[in-house]
Amino acid sequence: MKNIYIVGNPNSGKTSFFNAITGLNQKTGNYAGVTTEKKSAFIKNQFQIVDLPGCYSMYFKTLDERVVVNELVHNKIDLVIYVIDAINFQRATLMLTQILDLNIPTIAVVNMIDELEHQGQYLDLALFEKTLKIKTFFCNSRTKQGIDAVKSYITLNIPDKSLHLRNTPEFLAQMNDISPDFSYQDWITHILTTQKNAILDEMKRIDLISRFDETEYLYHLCIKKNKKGIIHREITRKIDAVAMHHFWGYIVMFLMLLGVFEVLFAVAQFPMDLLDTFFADLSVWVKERIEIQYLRNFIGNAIIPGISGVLIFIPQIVLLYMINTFLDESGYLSRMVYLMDFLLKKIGLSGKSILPLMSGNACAIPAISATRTIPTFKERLITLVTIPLMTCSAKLPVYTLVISLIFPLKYQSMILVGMYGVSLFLVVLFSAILNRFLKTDEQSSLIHDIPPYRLPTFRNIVISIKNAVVPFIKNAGSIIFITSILLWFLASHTFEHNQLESSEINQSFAAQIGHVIEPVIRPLGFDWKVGVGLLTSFIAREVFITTMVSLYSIDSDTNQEKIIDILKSPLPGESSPPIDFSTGMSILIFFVFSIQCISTLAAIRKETNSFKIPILLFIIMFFIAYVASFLVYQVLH
Amino acid sequence: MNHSLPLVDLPINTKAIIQEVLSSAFHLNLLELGFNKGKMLQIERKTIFGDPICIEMGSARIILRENEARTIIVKPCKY
Repeated sequence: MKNIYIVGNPNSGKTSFFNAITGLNQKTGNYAGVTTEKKSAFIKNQFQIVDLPGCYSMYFKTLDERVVVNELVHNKIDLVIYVIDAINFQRATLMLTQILDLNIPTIAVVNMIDELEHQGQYLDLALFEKTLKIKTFFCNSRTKQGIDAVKSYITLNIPDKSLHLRNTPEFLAQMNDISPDFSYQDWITHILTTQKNAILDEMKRIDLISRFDETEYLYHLCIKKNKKGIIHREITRKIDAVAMHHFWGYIVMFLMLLGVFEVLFAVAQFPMDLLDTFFADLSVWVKERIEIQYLRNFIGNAIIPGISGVLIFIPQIVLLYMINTFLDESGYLSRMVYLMDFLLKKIGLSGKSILPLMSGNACAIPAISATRTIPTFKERLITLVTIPLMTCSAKLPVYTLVISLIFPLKYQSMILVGMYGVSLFLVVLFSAILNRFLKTDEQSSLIHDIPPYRLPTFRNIVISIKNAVVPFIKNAGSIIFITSILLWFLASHTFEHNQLESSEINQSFAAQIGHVIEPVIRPLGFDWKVGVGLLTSFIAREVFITTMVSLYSIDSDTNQEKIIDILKSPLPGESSPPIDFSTGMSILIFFVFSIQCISTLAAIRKETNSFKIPILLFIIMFFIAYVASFLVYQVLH
Repeated sequence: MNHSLPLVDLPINTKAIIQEVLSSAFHLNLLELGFNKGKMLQIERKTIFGDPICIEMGSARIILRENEARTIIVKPCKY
């Protein structure tokens, strides 16, 4: 198996190239010991292609960059495909020269050459190849032009025998007390294993400045002028005149986010209703046809709710990832960094916290990993611990359900937007508080690239959705499914009888567990069923709904099969529905604060490399959630 | 107006040449993104708060905070 690594600057179109060359057959995982997402793909069982995180040079500053350097130095690499963004040619060639100095077999791929041409310039490919002595390709990930050439080259030419060995860079050779065979590779290994210090920094600076001369030379040699007009740049300019405007920029951002939420709810609601109705009908259909009571209950109350409980979340996940990918790839997210940095800086965050916080709206776990691009520890920590307050795709269905139970239809979407507003407000509040208490010596900085606007390709959006949905079905999905079956078992069995009649649910295992915690949660307005829901939602928040449905559907004698209808109709012998206004509000508030998700806590533990932070965070947030819910319930009740 | 000044004090849309990048915690980051002696740049815009600022340098556009912009010493061009 040959190992091929794709390396390049952030925003260089590296991932688009990777997507174009591998298509849908990608795997996502993690690098050993860290949570940085590792995207890889196998081609014909001959090659493993890995897409490394974006990086500007071997002198890493963030944890993600450290992963890149570590992989490049310590792994057996058969080929590096170095992706160059043509319009940032000089900046891109900096790291290329470093990789060549490591004497790793390398080919270069020049991306977005059309953008360079729109700027009235072109790249002399032959001269570039001759000067650096590496094979180079023009590629366009959008049209897939040049991709096949790269593919056939790597199938035929690995191992590349034509590796041109470069001399050890001068700055190392000039060092006095270093042995003559000390290579650039040894130098990078030395940096990886040594504490950051002033001498190392000075040497890095000398290295970068001498490389700057080399890249400057390459730039003037290979980039030439043609007489075409400047098209693309003008478009970006015109959009930014508004999108980055000191007043209109904020208005545009506000409207954009409002539109995003509107799409998210209005569009997702339709397939969700459809799925809900479908499974309700299916359940009725099955129940009418199965004679054996036990089997009928098992399929109707455990299997079908289990499957629908997994599938019903998928429309929102798909839309969330679609929107996130769109904002990121179009380049708009960088404008948000620009617009928001000053305000975020005030509360101890960085403009770079935008991406993790935005993806916290999809799922806290990748969002927590995304904080790795924030270079200072304090800003990173504050971002990381406030992410669980965002409304993730697992909280969303809980909110949607509870809101639809307790508010009239015309206010529902407004209330939902309000929930997002509340969580945003809490992120600001908590950050500001933490900012007060955490002290640091680190200099915070923001140095961020503003890429031209690019229309995200359909392929990239599909692949990022696929990379989110498949793990959801595999991981969260199987947990939801199993919980659903387990709950059915617990709710319909007891020590004495094998199977309970529906009216006897109050004697089941589940009820016994629920009754133990009931005294604690009674003041919040929760009965034992909600209590069991809170316990199971610890596995994953959306399991709360599955639990509610399982417990209440076994209990109700009605023919209602749709989730909403089950929870809206009063139980036999009672006058009010199981979740009334005050209980519903209490549930909402509880879910806003508490970190009801074990995977999130695990991710925080891994990222902070500490048990103290996640445990403390959980206890504090649980306490706040409890008090807030208590107050809300007692006031409303 | 031909004396050197920190980038942060350069008026918007005035071309200038980098004279020196002072050493700081983010010196290496600036170098990597191409801020080096002899490069021509200009400030394209600032936010309503005056910070961060958006720099145009060659075909690249980069945002910096005032803090970083203070470490870049530039000399405005005559033309």
